[in-house]
This record gives sequence, C-alpha cells and structure tokens, in this order.
Amino acid sequence: MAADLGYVALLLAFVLSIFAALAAWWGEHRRTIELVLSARNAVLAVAGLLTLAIALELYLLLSSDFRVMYVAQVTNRAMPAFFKLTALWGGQAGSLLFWSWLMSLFAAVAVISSWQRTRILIPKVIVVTQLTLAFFLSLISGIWAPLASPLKVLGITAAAELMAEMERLTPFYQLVFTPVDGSGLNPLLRHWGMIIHPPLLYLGFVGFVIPFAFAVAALSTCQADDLWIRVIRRWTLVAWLFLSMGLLVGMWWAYGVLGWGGYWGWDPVENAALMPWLTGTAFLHSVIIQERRGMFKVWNMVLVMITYSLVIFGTFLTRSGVVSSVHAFAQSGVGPLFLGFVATTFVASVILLFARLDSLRSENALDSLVSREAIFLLNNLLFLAIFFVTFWGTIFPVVSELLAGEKAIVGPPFFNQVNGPLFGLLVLTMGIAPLMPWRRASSGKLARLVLWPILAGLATTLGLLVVPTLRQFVILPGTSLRIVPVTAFYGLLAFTLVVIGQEFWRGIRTRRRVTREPYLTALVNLVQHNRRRYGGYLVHLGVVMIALGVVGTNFFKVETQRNLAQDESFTITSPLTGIYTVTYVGLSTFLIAEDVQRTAATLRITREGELISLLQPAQDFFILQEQAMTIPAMRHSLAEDLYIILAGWEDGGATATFKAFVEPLVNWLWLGGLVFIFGTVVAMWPTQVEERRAAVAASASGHAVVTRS
Amino acid sequence: MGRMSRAILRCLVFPALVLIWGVPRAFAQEPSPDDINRVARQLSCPTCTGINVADCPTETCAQWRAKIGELLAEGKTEQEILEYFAARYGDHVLQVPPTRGFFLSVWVVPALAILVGLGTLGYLMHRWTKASTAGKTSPTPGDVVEDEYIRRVEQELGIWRK
Repeated sequence: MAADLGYVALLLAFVLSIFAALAAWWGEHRRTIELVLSARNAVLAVAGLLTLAIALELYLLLSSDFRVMYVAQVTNRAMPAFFKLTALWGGQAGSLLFWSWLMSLFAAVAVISSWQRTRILIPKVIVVTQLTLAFFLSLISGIWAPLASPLKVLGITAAAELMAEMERLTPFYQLVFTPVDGSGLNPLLRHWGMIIHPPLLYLGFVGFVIPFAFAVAALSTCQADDLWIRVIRRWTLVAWLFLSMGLLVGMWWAYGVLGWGGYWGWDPVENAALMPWLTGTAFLHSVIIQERRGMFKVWNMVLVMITYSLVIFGTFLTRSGVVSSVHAFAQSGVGPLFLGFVATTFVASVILLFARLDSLRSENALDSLVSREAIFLLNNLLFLAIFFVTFWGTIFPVVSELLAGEKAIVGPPFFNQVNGPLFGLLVLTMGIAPLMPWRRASSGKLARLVLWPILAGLATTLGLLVVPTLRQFVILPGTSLRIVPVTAFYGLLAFTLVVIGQEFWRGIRTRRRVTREPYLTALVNLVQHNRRRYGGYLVHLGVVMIALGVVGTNFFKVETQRNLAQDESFTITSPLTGIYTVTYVGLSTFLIAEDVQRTAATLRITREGELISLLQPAQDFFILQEQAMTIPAMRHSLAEDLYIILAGWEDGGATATFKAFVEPLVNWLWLGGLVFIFGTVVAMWPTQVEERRAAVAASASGHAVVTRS
Repeated sequence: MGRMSRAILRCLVFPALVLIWGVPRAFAQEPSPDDINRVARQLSCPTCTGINVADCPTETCAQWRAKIGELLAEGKTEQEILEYFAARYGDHVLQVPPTRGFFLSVWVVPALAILVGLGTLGYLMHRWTKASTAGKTSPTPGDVVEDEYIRRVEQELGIWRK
C-alpha cells in the first residue's frame, strides 16, 4: 500500500517536473505570467510529492517491509531503527531518490527566494532545475522500462535488456514474494562518518545545480551582467561548504575506519567528489574578479558549466561503478543514460555560451601581470590543472581498456607525483594573492608588505635545514633527497601564515586608529564588517593547517609491521617525539552486539620506560554478513598519532601481527578542517552592510529590467 | 572458474617451483614484513579495487605477500619482483602503468594539457596587457588604488558609526 502510494507520488513528481519546465519555457516565450506562475506552483508541488515519497520510503524501511526490494537489499531485522532510516542513502535507488528530493527542495527555495528580486531569470531557472530533476526521477520511476519491447522488436536486445532492468531500480519496486529477512547494511557503513558523509556530499552536489541554472538563465535571457552573480553568491558558498564538509568527513571516516593508516586513496569515488570541488573553488575565486573588475565573464560561465557536468558525472561515478571496469558500465542502464545526459547538457550549454559571447565582453583589461587579477588567473589555471590530472587518472583505466585493449590501474603514486607539486604551487599563489593589489602593484609598497612574510619563510626553511635540533625533524634515513622541497614548503607555509596574520593586523591597526577600541573588539568588529574577506582569510588559515598535516603524513609517515608473541615488544621511531616501545600483553574475544564478535589485543605503549598509554586495536567480526572489520587504536597528540591495527593472530592469540604507523602532524589536518569550515560559515553569513547594498542593487536592477522589457 | 583454476595452479605450482629452485638460494637473507610491504605497496590487489597488496586483508594478497617474501629471499630486486607479477597477471596489477606504448599517455596527456593551459594563459595575458596599455585602461593611477584597502576599512567604519 505505502509502496504503491510512494510510486504514484514519484510518477506524479516526474510528470509535474516536466510540466513545470515546459510551462516555464512557454510562459516566458509567450510572456504569459499565468503559465510561469503555474510552473512555479508545479515546482512546489514536486517538492511536496517527493517529500511524501521520502516519508513513505522511510516508513517502509522502518517497518522492515521486505517485500519492497530496496528495503530487503539495505536493511535487516537486527538493525537499530537509526540505521534503518539512514539506509535511505545506503543503496543506489534510495540515494537517487534522496538526491532528487534535495534537488526539488533546493529548486523550490531558489525559485521562491529569488522570485521578487530576479523574476526575469526565474523561468529558465525552473527549466534547468526541473529538467535535471526529471532526468533523475526518470531513472527511479521505471519510465525507461516500457522502451524495452520496441527496442527488442528493433533487434537491439542488449539495450532492451538494460531498459527492462531499469524497472527494478525504483525504490518502491515490490518483489512477488516477501523475504524472511533483508541482507542488511555493509558493516563498514555503520559509522557516523559514513552516515552523514553522503548527505553532505549530495547537498554539495545539488547545491551546484542552482548556480548553473542561474548562469544558463542569465545567458539565455541576455541578462549576463552581474545580476546572476549576486544571486548565486550565497548558493555557491553553501554548496561549496557542504562539499568541503563531505570531503573532510569522508577522509576522517577513511582514516578512522578503513584501517590502512591513510585518509585519501585517490579512489574514483573520492575523485568524483573532489573534481567539482576543484572547479567550484576556482569559480569562487574568479567570480570575485567579475564582481570587482567586470572581467572573466565567459570564463566564469565555463567554470559553472564544468562544475555542473562534474556534479552529474560524480553522481554517476559513485553510483554506476563504471571506473572499475567497462563491463560494470554495461551491466546497468544507468551508466549509458547518465553519460548521455552529461554529454547533452554540456554540449547544449557550450552552444548557448557561444551564441551569447557578445553579451559577455570584459569591461576592463588586465593592467599588469603583477596584480591580483593575474594571480587569480594563475590560481584558476592550477585548480583546472589539478582537476584535469585527477579526471585523466580516474578515467584512464577505462580509456586504456577501450583504446589499447588492456586495463591499467592508476594508483596513488601517480596522483601524488603529479598533483603534489601543483598543490604546492597553489599554496604559493594563496600566499601571494593578498599582497597583490588590484590592477597593478607598485614595487615600494609591495616590498614593505612582503618583508615580514619573506623573513618568516626564510627563517623557517633555513632553521629546519641548519639548526641541528630542528634538522632532526626533517631528516629521516633514506629521505634526504626530499629535504629541500619539504623544508621549502614549510617555509612557504610560514610565509602564507604571516601574510594572513599581517592582513588581520593591518585591519585591526586601522580600526584602532579611528575608534581606539581594544584589540579583541577591533578584531571581532573587523571580521564582522567584512565577513567575506576575513572569512576567506580564515579559510586560507585552515588550508595552511591542512597542508601542514598533508605534508607531515606524506613525507614523514613511519610504518612497520611485526609479529609478536605475548610479552614481546617492538619499537617504532617518530621523527618528532622519539621512540615508542609497543608490548603485546594479550588477546581477548567477546561479543559487543548480538551479531558482532570483537577480538581485541591489548598493547602497552611506553616511551623511555614510562607507560604512556594502553591501546586496544581490534577486529570486529559481523556474524550475519561473515565480514571482518579492522578497528584501529590511536594515541592522539598535536605532534602525531600513533596508529596501530591488529592484522592477524595465531593459536588463539599466542602470537599476533600488528601494523603500526606514526602519522606526524595528522591532527593539524582535522583541526585545519574545522577552521576551514568556520571560515566558510563566516564568509557566508550575511552582513548588514551587504544586505543593504544588495537591496539597493536589486531595486536598481529591477528598475533596469522593467525598462528593458 | 578462471580464478578458481588459477588459485589451484598457484597452490600447486608455486610450492613446487620453490622446492625445485627456490630453496638453494633462499638462505640469502630473511626479509622482514617491512621489506615485503615496501614492494607490496606498489602492487594492486587483483580481486578488489582501489587497494594495494600491502594493505589488503584478503587471502589472495596474503599469498602474494608470501610470494614477495620468497622472491626477496632469493635476492630478487624490487623491479624484478614487480615485473614477475606483471608478467603473470597483467600490467593492471601495478599501481602505476608501465612507461611504454599507450600507457605513456597517462603522463604525457596531463603534461600537454598543462602546457597548453600555460600557453593560452600567457597569450591571453599578453593580449590583455597590450590592450590596456593601448588606452583601454581606466584613469586612476596605481598608487591611489593601493591604499584603497585602508580607505575601504575607513569607509566601512563611517557607515557603521552612523
């Protein structure tokens, strides 16, 4: 019953989203406000219907109605209610429904909130968002299944089978029988990180559809001035914030749960989330130039379009398994349909862009190569380069299988070698950019600003190279070759840090000169009255901290594997804090849940004979799924993590094998992530000044719209 | 079926090989788990995706690590061991494709793309700066703009105090 109702809601939502797109298009074409109003109401109705569908799906999951295939695939009776609910995004059909629901809500909010300010753009925004939504809904509402029989008649049996399969992709698809129990959720996913990671990522993905919709609307209505840029500014930041949080939480989960001592594996699914983040970040920067100087309008459009395509492509990558093999791609109809949709929308938007090139002339020229604009261009090039390297590495296995007939794996070494230096250069532009004035820099002024940062950078690099007590931190046996780039990079981080600090200091000093308020008040007021600027600096501060952690773990990680008998020990030497001695005390096995058996080893960690910690790395065995999961044990500190996993044991624990890692500076990565998110929120929060300006601008542009039409 | 028979083959053939010509040379040096992992990290798990042989918990990878240990004990170099696995199981067991033939494009294409990007950027910058010296620029000279930052802070203070 509930499943039938849910399916009807889904179908209705699909039909209404198509209607909304057509009505908005036709209404704008014929200048019929009633049609546009009707389209707007349809957008709201779609959001309502999908909310109903989500509620029904949650009800089915919670009541363990295993006749619904999706419920049987992702849950079982033993699962706690909370996990049953979050299983909504644990499988393909459910996560596509979840994606669609978020999309419908974003579209509704975007249409309603911009209705007054930018009515001229609304019809095309409706067209773009609803067509995107209709595509996703078509995948999960069984629309393609009836195509199977005509395809079969035409003799295209392979395609016919794929289409017939699509019927089963509905999250409300009902089996002809009711299984006794479901298969349950993969144990690896039963972790809060994996529970909030997909929604965060999807919020980010869906959020980037809105800027794209406004960009297309602006282009096609020839309103490609700064109106759309103002409207989407906050949308872009919100989408970017969620995507950043999704990436960070994903890394945190991988580090804490997967048990291999790393947090980023350049896995296709990770890359799928990173790529739109890279192009989105490039857009966030270059859009500032359009706002300030009226330049790079075409380029900004291109970035928004690429980001949109990557969002769809990313959803497709994470949901189709195409990158593991060409064969996986052909096993489900979802792959070809997604690829077709990405290609169509990308080509269509590029054609639209070319048709409207005239309306995108730059208002200004580049005055000098030593200017903020030039640095921003370099920043964009680097982001795009990293994106392209990641894209190429991700699709290379498929490309080589198709073109050379032989599969190849492109693993982390490739990405680290190529993207590592590019990221380093990116940090360099990040450090220099705030020093560069708009238009052109005069050498005297630049020299004054650059003095302290350069001194700090040189002091750090030289200190690490020359002072013996510091030098021991960066010299490890066998790593002497890397010492020069690494110390140079630490110098660069110090340089950037001082640049950021200097920016805050200059602002505070200026405020104090005028208001004579205390330092702390001056700081708070400074940030409060220019949140975008100082929020941006806080984000950069977060990036510096993250970079510290990334360099620490990539260059100075120590790893060892040992097999120990009871009361035996081994040592592992940290580059920062000295020698850890790890002693194996014993092994115990016990139940931690009805279907989960834990085997935990107890380890005594000492440093210079002094007990500093007891660690219990473990393996959990999920009896129903017959799946083991490694639970690493960690000792955290600001300097490093000692990270130990239990790799195996023999004779009931008489001997056991351990892998131990020293992860230098890794916690700076997580702390930097928090600073990064805090900075983004600061930048996003509306200021009074900004709102007043926006209101003035809106009334002015509203006036312009009236006179133009 | 293929995997099954290969597994059986491995179980039978490898020990046989080790017995025949592995043993006499095997006393050279006992490799530590760390030595084995250093090589294993450069190989991809043949049955799962996105994980290297050192980190992979499956039985297959445990056997591969044991094999790496044997080969190391025989005095084989890292490169020889990687070639050994690539020759038997295909190039896709390597973490990075071998540098020959079509596989070279994994490195060449990004390098070309970055060069093209740099070239385009250089050309555009050149054109734009020329356009600006040709008079398209706006009238204010650089030094006024430089203190714009301070001016804006002061201006905002003004707004705020009202």
